[in-house]
Amino acid sequence: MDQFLKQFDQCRQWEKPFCTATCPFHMDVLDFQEKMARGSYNAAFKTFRNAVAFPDIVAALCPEYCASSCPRKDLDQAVQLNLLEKTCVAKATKKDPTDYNVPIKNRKIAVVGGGMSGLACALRLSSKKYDVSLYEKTDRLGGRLWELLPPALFLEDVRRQFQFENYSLHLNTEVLNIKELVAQGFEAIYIATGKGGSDFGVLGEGYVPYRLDKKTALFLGGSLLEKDPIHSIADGLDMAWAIEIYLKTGKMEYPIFSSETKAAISKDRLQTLAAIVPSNDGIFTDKESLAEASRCIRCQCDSCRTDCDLSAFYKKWPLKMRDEIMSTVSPSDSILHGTPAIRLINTCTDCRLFEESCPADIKFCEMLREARLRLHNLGKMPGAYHQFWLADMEHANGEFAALVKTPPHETQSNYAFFPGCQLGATDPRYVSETYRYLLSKDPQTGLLLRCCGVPAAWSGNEKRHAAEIASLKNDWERLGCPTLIIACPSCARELKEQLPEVATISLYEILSQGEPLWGNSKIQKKQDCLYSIFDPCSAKQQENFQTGVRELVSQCGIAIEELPNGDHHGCCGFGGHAKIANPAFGDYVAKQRSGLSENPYITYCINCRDIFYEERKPALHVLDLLFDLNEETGALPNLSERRKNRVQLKESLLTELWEEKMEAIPETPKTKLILTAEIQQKMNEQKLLEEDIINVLEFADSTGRRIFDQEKKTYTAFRELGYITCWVEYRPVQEGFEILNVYTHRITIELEMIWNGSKTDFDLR
Amino acid sequence: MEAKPTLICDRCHVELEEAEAQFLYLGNKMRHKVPRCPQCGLVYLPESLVTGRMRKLEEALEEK
Ligand SMILES: [Zn+2]
Repeated sequence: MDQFLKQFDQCRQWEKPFCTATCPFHMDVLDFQEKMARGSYNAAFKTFRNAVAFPDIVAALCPEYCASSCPRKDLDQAVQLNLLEKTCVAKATKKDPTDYNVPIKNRKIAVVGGGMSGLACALRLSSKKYDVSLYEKTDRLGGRLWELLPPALFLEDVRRQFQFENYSLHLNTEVLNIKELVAQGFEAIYIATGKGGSDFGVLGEGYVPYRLDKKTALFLGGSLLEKDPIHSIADGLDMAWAIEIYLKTGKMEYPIFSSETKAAISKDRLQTLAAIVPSNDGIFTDKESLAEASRCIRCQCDSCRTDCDLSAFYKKWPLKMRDEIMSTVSPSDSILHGTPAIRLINTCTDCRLFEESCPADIKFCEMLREARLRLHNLGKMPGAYHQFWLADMEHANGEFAALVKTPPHETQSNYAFFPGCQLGATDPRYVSETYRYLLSKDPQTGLLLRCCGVPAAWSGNEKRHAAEIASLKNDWERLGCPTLIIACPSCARELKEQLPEVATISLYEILSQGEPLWGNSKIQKKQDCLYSIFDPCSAKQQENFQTGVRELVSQCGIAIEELPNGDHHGCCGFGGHAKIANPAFGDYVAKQRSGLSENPYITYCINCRDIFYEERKPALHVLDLLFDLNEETGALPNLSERRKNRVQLKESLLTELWEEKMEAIPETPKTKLILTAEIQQKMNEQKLLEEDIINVLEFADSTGRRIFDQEKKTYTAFRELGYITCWVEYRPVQEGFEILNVYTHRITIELEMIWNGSKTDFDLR
Repeated sequence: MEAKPTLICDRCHVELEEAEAQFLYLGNKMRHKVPRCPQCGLVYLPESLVTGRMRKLEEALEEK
C-alpha cells in the first residue's frame, strides 16, 4: 500500500485556487464566495478582513489581480471579486473587530512610517499584543491614502480596526538614524517610509530588503520598494508575519509566496454565465450578489469527485477515503485500526476512470484492489460479498461448462476464441454463432470456454487468483499457445495485466477485417435508428476494441452519435462485483450510465448489456446485430438458467462440431420447485439459485427442522449456505414445492453452528 | 386474541416462544429475542426482522 500512499502525497485537493494564488493577500476566496453565495455578509466580511486588515480601504482600491487568473476570463468574464468585496463591506452590519483576550507579550517592535503599509504591520502585530511603537514624521496617519480615497472612508477604517489595540503612536517624529531605535531595545523594526523615504542603508547589494543589525531584525516594505497601494498593505502584513517568525525562532525568513498552483479543474464544470451588472450604484443587490458569487465554480482540483463513482456516491474526497481505507486494512493491533471502509473497498467497480482523471497520477482503483487483498489476508473480508461470483467462476471453469478444444478435425490452433464466462450464460448463441463464423473464416480456430479469473482478484483471494491464472495459462498451452480472440474487454484487460505472454486480439477487430457480409433483416430494420456506442469501462486504452466495434457498426450501415464524453465514464455497475456489497450503489451507477444519452446503446460487454436490460435502457450487444440475435429490450435468463445455458452451450458445441458426447451431465434434481415470477426476481436479487432453495428444503426434510404456521399452513425452513443464511417459506403440493417466500442474511445464528457440529457450546439452549 | 400467527416447531410439535438467541457477524456477538422452540431451540426469523433491523446492523458492522 506504501506506493499508493506516496502517490497521494501528490494529491492536489488542497492546492490553492488560481485567484488565491494571485491575490497579494492570499485570501481564501473559496471560503469568501461560499459565504457570499449564501448571503452571509458578516461572515464573508470576517474572512475578507482577516486577509486584508483594512477591508474598506482594500475594497475601494483592489484592482482585482485575480481576474487575470480566473478560468472564466477566457469563456465569458472573470468573476467580479472586487464588486463582491464592495458589496460585502457595504452590506455587512457587524464590522467591528473581535477584541481577543490574548496575553500581552513584552517584545518591543518599531514601525517607521504611518502609511498604509506601516499601519497594516502595526495593526497585525498589536492585535497579537506585541509592544508596538509607530513613528510617523507628519502630523497624520495614512500617507498616500490622502491622495487616493476620501479621508472619511480610510480614517474610519483605521479607527475601527485599531479600536481595541494599544500601541504607542509618535506623530511628528522623524526617525533620522535607525541606530537610535536599535539602542532603545527594539527587537524588530519595519521600515515603511514610503516613496522616496529612507531605507537607512538596509537595502544593500542585491536588493535584499532585510538585514540583522546586532540583535535587531530590520525589514523593508511598501512604496519605499515601489509597491502599489495594495501590495504595500500586503507587505505590511507579510512583514508582520516575518517579524513574528523572527521573535519566535530567531530566524530571518522573508516571505516568498508563490502565485503558482497545481490546481486543476474539469472543463465541463465551466458553463457560460454572463457577468452580473450591479443595478445599484456599483453594489450588488442580494440576488445579484448570489448570482455573481455562483459564477465562481470554486476552482479546486476535483475531477475525481465527479468522475469517480465511489467519490460521487459516498460524497467523500479521495483523501478521506484513503484514510478510511488505510485504517481498515491496518492490522488489528495497529493504532490506526478500524473498519470504516469494508463496504467502501468492496464498492469499487475497478473502472480505472480515476486514473484517467487524476492529474497527480494516483492509481486509486489499484489501491482499492490491493486493499481487497489486504482485507482478505487479515480475515476481514465478508465472505458473503464474493461467495456467489466465486461459485459462478467455479461453475464456468468446472466440468459442466469449461471447454478447451483444438478446432474440429485439427490438432493445432493458430487462434482460439475466448468468449469469457458470461456471454454464453446470457445467450449460448452469442458464442456458438460467433464461433461458427470464425471457423468459416479460419478452420484453425480453437475454443476456450472458461472464466478469466477476475472474480478471484475482486474477492481479494490472491492465492485463488494465482491458481486461476495458472490454470488459464495451462489451458492456453494445451491449445498450443494460440492468439486468443477476446470478446469481453474485461477479460482482455485482465489477460494483458496477468498473462502478458498471451497474444490477444479483439473479436471485433477480427470480425471487422473480412469482407463485410453483414446483412440480415435486423440490421435493415435498425438502419433508421440512431445509436450511441457505450464503451465498457474495461475498454479504456483498448483501441482495438473501440475501433473494431465502430467499424462493424459502420459496415452495418447504422448511424451512431458518440456519447458527450466518449468513453470517459465509469462502469455499468458489474465491475468489482460491487453490487452485492452495495446494492444502492449498483442502482446509482446503472442509472448514471443509462442516462448518458437518449439514444439506444450498442455495447460489446455482455454485463453492460444485461445491466441496461435490467434498467430498461434499450441496448444491443454488437453481436445481436451481426448474428440477428436479441432485441434492445427483453427478458434476461435467471441465475439458474444462466448456468443451464453454459451447460447447454458446451453440450451442443461438442455434439455438433466435434461429434462428441458430453461425459459429465449435471444431475436433474428430484425436488420440483414451483416459482412465481416475483419469487424468481427475489432470488435473482439475492443471488440465489434453484439448487440453493432445494438445498434448504432437503435439509429441512432430512432433519425435520422447520416451522409450521398453523394459520397459513406453510412451512419455513432455513440453512446456512456458506456465508449466508437462506430462509424459505413453502407449501408442499402434489407437483412439488410451492415457494412462497425467500430471504437471506449474513449475520449467523450461533445455534446454527451447534447444529452444524462446528461448535459444542450448548449454553444457548 | 393472539394477533401473532401460531408457529409450531415441526420436530417437537410445540409452539415457539420469545427467547434470546445469540448472533455473530464479523467478529461481533449480539443477542436478541426471537421466536424459538422451547425444547430444541429452533429459531424463527421473520422476513421483516431480516430485511429490516438485521440488514441495517450488517451494514453498520461493515462500516464500523
Ligand atoms: Zn423444537
